[in-house]
Amino acid sequence: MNAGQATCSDGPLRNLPAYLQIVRGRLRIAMTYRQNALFMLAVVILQIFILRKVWTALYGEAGVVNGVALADVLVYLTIANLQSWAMQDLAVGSYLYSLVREGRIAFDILRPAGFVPQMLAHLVGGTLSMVLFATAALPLVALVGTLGPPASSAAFGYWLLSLFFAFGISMLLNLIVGLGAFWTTEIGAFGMLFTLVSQFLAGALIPLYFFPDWLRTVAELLPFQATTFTPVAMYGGQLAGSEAVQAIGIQLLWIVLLAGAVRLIWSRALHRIVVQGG
Amino acid sequence: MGSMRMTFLLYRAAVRGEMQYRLNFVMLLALGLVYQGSGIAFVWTVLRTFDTIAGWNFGELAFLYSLRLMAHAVWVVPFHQLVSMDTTIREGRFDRYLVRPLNPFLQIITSRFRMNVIGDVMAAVILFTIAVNLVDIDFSPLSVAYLVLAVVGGALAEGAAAVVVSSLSFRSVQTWAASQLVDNIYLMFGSYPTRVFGGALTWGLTWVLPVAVVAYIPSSVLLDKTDSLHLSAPAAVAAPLIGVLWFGAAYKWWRVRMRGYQSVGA
Amino acid sequence: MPTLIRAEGLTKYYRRPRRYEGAFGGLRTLITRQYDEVRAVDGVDFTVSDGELVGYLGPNGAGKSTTIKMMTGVLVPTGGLIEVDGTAPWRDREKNAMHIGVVFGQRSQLWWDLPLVDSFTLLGKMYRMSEADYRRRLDGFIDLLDLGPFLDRPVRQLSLGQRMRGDLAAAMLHEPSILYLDEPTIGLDAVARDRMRDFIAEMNRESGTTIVLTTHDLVDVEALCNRVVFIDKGRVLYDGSVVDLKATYAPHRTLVVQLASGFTAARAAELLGPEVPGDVIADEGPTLRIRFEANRISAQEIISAVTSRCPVTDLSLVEPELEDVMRTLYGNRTIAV
Repeated sequence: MNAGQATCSDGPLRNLPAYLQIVRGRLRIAMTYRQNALFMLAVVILQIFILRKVWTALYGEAGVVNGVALADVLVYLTIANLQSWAMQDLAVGSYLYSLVREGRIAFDILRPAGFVPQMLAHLVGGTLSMVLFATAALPLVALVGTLGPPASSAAFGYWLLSLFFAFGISMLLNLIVGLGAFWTTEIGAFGMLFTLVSQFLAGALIPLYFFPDWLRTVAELLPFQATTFTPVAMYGGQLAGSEAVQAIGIQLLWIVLLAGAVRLIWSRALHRIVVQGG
Repeated sequence: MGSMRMTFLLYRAAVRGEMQYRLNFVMLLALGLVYQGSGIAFVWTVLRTFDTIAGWNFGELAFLYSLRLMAHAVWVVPFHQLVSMDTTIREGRFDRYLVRPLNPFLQIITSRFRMNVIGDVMAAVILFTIAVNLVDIDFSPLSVAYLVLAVVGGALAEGAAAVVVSSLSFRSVQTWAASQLVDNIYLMFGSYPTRVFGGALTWGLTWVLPVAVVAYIPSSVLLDKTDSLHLSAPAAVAAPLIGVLWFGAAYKWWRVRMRGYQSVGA
Repeated sequence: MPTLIRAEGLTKYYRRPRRYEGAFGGLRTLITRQYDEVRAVDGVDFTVSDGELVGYLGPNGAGKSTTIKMMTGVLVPTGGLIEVDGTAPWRDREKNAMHIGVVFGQRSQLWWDLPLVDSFTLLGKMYRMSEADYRRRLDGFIDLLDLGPFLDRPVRQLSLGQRMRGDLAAAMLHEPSILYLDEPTIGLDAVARDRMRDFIAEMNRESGTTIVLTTHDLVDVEALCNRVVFIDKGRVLYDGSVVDLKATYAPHRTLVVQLASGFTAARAAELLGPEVPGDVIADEGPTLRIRFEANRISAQEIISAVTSRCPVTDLSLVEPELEDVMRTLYGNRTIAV
């Protein structure tokens, strides 16, 4: 992934302080603009509330549908939405876009720390701040949505592990979207489009087991479900045992594939910078 | 009539300006379509497994949804630029509007034309066409007239909230996030039969923040489902007027707030 | 000449909602009833007559822009009277707008993505100009400001100088009787500045347009204004002609004398001694400076005193710069009100 670098004389950790600096910077920015984050958090809390009401109306008198009880669906939706909100840090796209537009991209490329790792550091910082906001909102979320304990302690362990990889996948996806800044000036619109589609296919609004077969096949061939459905279904115990192990394997596979994609796209972008002069 | 013509000329200039960036057009169009269509994709998917939401089948829900989309389109095409009013003020461009002989409100809404609203319109037209084939409504002149009134009333109901939010920027407040929130409230609460949210909220979404009047109440009237409404049938028929009244009040409020405008950089 | 603009006890206090820190600070800012008050303009009196060209000067934050904004109708005054052509601009904003032109030097009013000429077309319609009037005025400006070469180019592609010329034409298109210029030459190169000044002077002279100009460039003021209003901390410090301003606040002139070779300045200073009422400054080498007060002794007397005692090869008289005046005024501002 370190596309911009020729040599690594002192090992890969030599630029760590620089990356930590970026992460800290992102956290500071998030605190400065916490007002905006609060409004966006309000949107997701409303969404959780609305999903609870709509799903309750859908279930009506029925206690269990397709083998899943309403209470389980509600817990699933609450966690899935909060979690996927925390994963949608698209700030790196607008950051990249401002670099490109103002011609400052050269500075970031010329730094000794690799450019792609720098962007990943931005993403880590951004995601960290989102996680902090989401955690702070938990009491309110519990009130508006439905929270419940994990199915078992094993389920909890699977969830934690899978959540970690889920963040990895979503960061890579966000980076790919962000790199779109080299091709379009409407990076905001592009990001929003991505958010909507990924949220749906990740199963944040409807658990995958309520998808019609063909749609479920489509969703399973895409990386989005590995960011949300996989971990949350583990939490609720709908995904357990060998199935869970297999799902984590798929997550790892996606990380490798997406990292390769980032590398490819970045080299194209670099080519574009060279040709167009930033 | 002079300012109407001028407003039209300014819109035309804004559209021509936007045409310089043709490449983004497709992206923005897709965004408008997907953003406005995402809710109905949800409804369609869950109704593969379930039969109804609170007694509304897919056709009826699609009709309700398309009514909201049409009202939204009627609001958003002419007025969407109001969302950027805080930026306009922060960058000092509002001063200019005040030294020209045309209502500043009209100058704000014509300052740009964002192409994604075309996607919003397309989503509305497409879904409405589909929905009227799924439900059975007899389109008498009276019900067509009511439909038009409902769409206009719904547009103004959404507009009233947007106008009030934008007026906050006269107090040098950033309103981008707040208007996103309001937008989402109309999008999310407006797409379902309001009564699934419970009595208190249904009341609030009718009288305080007029969301129910956009689509839920008028589609109940047109689909002849008024017996499950929280209003009597005559009140439901008159509900679009709430939007008109609220908008009038919101615009008045906006004008009053403009008096307190302090410009930037003392 | 009749009075066109009148300000009496004009006052503007800004009320800024108090800002709050903390997690919900923004929301509290939104609903707070507490304000911080800033006195931007604090009882200003002046009048501008028809056909005048007045420079409105002062340091940053003195209240210049605020006053201009009240004159143009952008801001509602907190107190006092502001009248332009008999009406309060903020009360009848659109009527006032019909007969004023405004250039904000930092912000263009032109349509960014459209050819320059489209902005003129739109403004012609907005100010309800007849086709014939519009044609006549535009042709005049194309000539005067040499807009022809870039009339069909999108505004975003114009140089700053070209854009400012476009902005001036846009502000003057509807034949306003008053033109407000807020920092019109900011950021322009020397050639563009000269061109701008010529245009402003011409508008004032030929069309009799009343012009109110704020600027930080004192060359603008010296070249254009016969009258200046000086403002600081929201109050008028000085109102009068540029000549009187200099006489009052910078009465000194300097005579620079080049002595013949072999004759040092130190020697000359010794020779002149107490004969000359003024400060004699002897540089290294053959240059001598004599700073004197023009109202106590004439240049003529000093020159004859010098030439009668020392061999002189060259003489020059240096007038005070307006900048010196500004320095004096700003330096004294605590006592000057």
